[in-house]
Amino acid sequence: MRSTKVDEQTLYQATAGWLKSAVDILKGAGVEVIAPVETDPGVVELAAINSSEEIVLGYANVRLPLKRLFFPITEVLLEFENQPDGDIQMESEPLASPKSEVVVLGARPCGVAALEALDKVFHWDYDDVRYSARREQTTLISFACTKPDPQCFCTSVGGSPHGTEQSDVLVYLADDGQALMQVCSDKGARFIEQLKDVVKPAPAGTKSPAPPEVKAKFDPEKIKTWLDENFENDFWTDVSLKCLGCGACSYLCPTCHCFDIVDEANWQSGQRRRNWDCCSHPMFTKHASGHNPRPDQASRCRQRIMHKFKYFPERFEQIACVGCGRCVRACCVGQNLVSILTDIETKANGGNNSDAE
Amino acid sequence: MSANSTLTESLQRAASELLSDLNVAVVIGYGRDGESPFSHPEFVRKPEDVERLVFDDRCFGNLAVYLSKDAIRRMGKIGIVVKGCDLRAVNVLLREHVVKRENIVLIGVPCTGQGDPLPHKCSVCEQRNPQGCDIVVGDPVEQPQINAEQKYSDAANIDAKSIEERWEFWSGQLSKCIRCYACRNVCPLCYCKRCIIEKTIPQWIETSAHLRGNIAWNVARAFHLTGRCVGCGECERACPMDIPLSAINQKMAQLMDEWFDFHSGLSSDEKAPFTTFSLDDSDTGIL
Amino acid sequence: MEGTTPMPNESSTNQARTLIPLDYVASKMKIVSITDETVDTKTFRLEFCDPQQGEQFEFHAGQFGLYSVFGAGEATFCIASSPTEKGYIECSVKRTGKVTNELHQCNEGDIIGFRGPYGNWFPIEQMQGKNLLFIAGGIGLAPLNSLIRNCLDLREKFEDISILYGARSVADLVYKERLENWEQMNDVQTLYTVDPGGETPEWKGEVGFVPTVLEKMKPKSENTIVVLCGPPIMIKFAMLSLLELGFSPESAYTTLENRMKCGVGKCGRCNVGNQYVCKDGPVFRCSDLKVLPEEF
Repeated sequence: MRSTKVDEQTLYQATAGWLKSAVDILKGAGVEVIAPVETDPGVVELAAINSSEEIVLGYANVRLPLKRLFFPITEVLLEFENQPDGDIQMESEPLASPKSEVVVLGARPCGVAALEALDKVFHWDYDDVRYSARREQTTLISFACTKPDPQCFCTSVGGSPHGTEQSDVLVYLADDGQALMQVCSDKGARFIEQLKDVVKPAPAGTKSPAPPEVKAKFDPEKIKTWLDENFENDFWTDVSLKCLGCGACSYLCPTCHCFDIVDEANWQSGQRRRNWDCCSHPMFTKHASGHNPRPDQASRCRQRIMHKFKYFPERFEQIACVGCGRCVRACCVGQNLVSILTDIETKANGGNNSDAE
Repeated sequence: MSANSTLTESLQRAASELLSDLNVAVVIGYGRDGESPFSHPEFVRKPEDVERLVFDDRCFGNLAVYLSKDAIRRMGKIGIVVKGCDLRAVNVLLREHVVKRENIVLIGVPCTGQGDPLPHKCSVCEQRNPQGCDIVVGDPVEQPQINAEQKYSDAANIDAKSIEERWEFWSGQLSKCIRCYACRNVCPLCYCKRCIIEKTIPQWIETSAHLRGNIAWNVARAFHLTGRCVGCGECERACPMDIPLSAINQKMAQLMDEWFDFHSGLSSDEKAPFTTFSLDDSDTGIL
Repeated sequence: MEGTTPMPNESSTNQARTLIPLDYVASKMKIVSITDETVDTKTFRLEFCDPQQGEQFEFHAGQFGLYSVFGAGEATFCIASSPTEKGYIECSVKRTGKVTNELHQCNEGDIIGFRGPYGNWFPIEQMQGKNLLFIAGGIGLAPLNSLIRNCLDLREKFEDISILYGARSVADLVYKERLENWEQMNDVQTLYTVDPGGETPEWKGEVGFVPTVLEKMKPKSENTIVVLCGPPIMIKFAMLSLLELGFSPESAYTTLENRMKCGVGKCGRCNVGNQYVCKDGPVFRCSDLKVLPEEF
């Protein structure tokens, strides 16, 4: 499942116009190409393209996280139909086929690194075959960040604007259309091989550019020590006062993976679907009996932070956050995860801050 | 473009007095920390903390949304900073008996608009000087005359399209909906303890983010807000997918204007068309 | 693939499972019989429509499945029959919400779906050679039912077996026929009770809350494993009584329930702290429960 790391020192040089050649070659080979496209004014999303003309560059990050290519917002699991004899005809939705290849150009390192967390959950004892099939058929070509947003904090959670985690190739774009490429896996090597006319090994001594600075803002290990001891603390009430429990942060989060399974049907036939869901929604944990283990916004805000920075690391040895900053940008009441975490770190260090967020 | 310092000072003083006299348990206003590009809801419970309050041109949120939250109502009497649009929402909450007038202290602030460029809702605002507040901080500002054409221009632009174009437009926009329900949660008037989307017997509206489910959700929400929505535009601002939600609500408001000469939220004892019965009604179908 | 957890739950032998492909596709089950247990609880006996699936199906007492009515959705119930009973599985369903309502409207012969078995199970191996005390309240008898039937089918492996079961009233007792069978067995001690006010003139059992009757029973704690299942308040007070009688939380087990959707630890819904009820449970040792946050 995981791409194996090949010689990470292997750098390739791509000529100007490589992007157009890549798209043409891939489309010619029947590969689906997903690349950054402007879908709303000033908004860039990863979408299927037909020609390289549609691609936009120079964006900070895409609006929806990469996870949706592997874990869609809504997907059909199976379809069922009542038969006249009382039987039910059931058909499972076909899985993505590895033969229908997909290449994603222009994913950001944080979105790709998030897949490491998702892989752990979707392969925990049970292999989520839909997720796995899509992962297998997809090659991830990341574009290194040149201008991180002020809200980015990848370096605080072990990431980097030039991170290669889970990437197949990391591309450093130059302003003149050329690019430097770093192969990170067998799939990446195959991608480079397909582009051999426009991508050649870089001259000896070529160095990849230094990443732009993203100052680390907090220490997750320190934070965990406070989380370990403070399940009950007024802090959670204070921090959740302005939270409206809307779910925008979770839906845009590259590592959030909570989902719902629902049936949608009429008298005759229907579908069973898997949909994104959010632990901030009040009904998320509500039992049919009416009992709700997380009855207020405070317990739900606590769950979100505990899950990402304590429970997930305890079960999977990884923080369920890549520092992309979408939660900060999306929150319409100005809730800032970084501020909350730095507040916690201050407390962990024995300091005191005001009881505000 | 920066915080209006005299206004902020008056606001802080008013809040401090309210809290010191033990008149209110909490003042809900706006605050700003160094990093944030806009001012966000702030809850001040002690007089010494009023310095956290500001009022500037980045005070986007509609604070009335907190008046229906149990965690805040439990605190006691609430002082709330309201711009004109926020006050309209409070009026609807009052007429729908969600809040009791004696449990809130309204701190009105005159507002010439939030954000730069000014969003449409601010450029057509007719409530720049909030009326009926317990305290008003700051001097009144000029109130330009607004006509219906300006008010409903977003809806008119879409109405000008052919029906096929309109369908294409809305299908495209609503396909983007990811069903995060930020629009609902940020709306002061979406206070149902159990929203229609959460009802399962039967499941009135499908929860999956396919086009038919998205249309059903957004249309149902618009219908449930018809005659109630005050046009504060928070739904559109909260939507992470840049869907022009205000246009839908604006259209419903235009119809309420044309059919019933009704504008929601102008006073707390207005008679709303859908919740008022009169023997003079043109349609007496229910009799 | 289990990560390190601060509370290793070695009570249930969760052997490292190899990666099992999962597509969330339910197996089709035919309802072969429906028993009305109480006014709002029914027991369904189900057979796999595909005989091969039926033959290959194995589970352990304590595990659960996701049962579905096609068109209404999935819901989680334990498997109430014993793994020693071949050819069918049973579940007991209380009518509470959408799926359970639809299930209650099903008839014999209807087809429903089943996904499972999921979760951990009662440590039946560690219980061998010991006295067993089963304490259940209301519909909490359902998960215990599987374990009791399992143990009774292997009777010689255990020492004394006692069953203390109570419900709000006589009408609320479930598995009434089984209760009678167990009472008839001379190598099983049974004590049934109803809450004060819940008795009928014909009722011959005890009258009193389960924890009170437990104290009257004075079970001995040496070499005894206790398994409790029922409303949280019953468990809380029963545990207090057990502690006074000399039992330790390390030798007591219970089951937790939480809202579930996937049943396999992926949908992020059922966690209590860092423990997932669907993966680290539903069977928990009572001593481990004390370390969990109050979130269930």
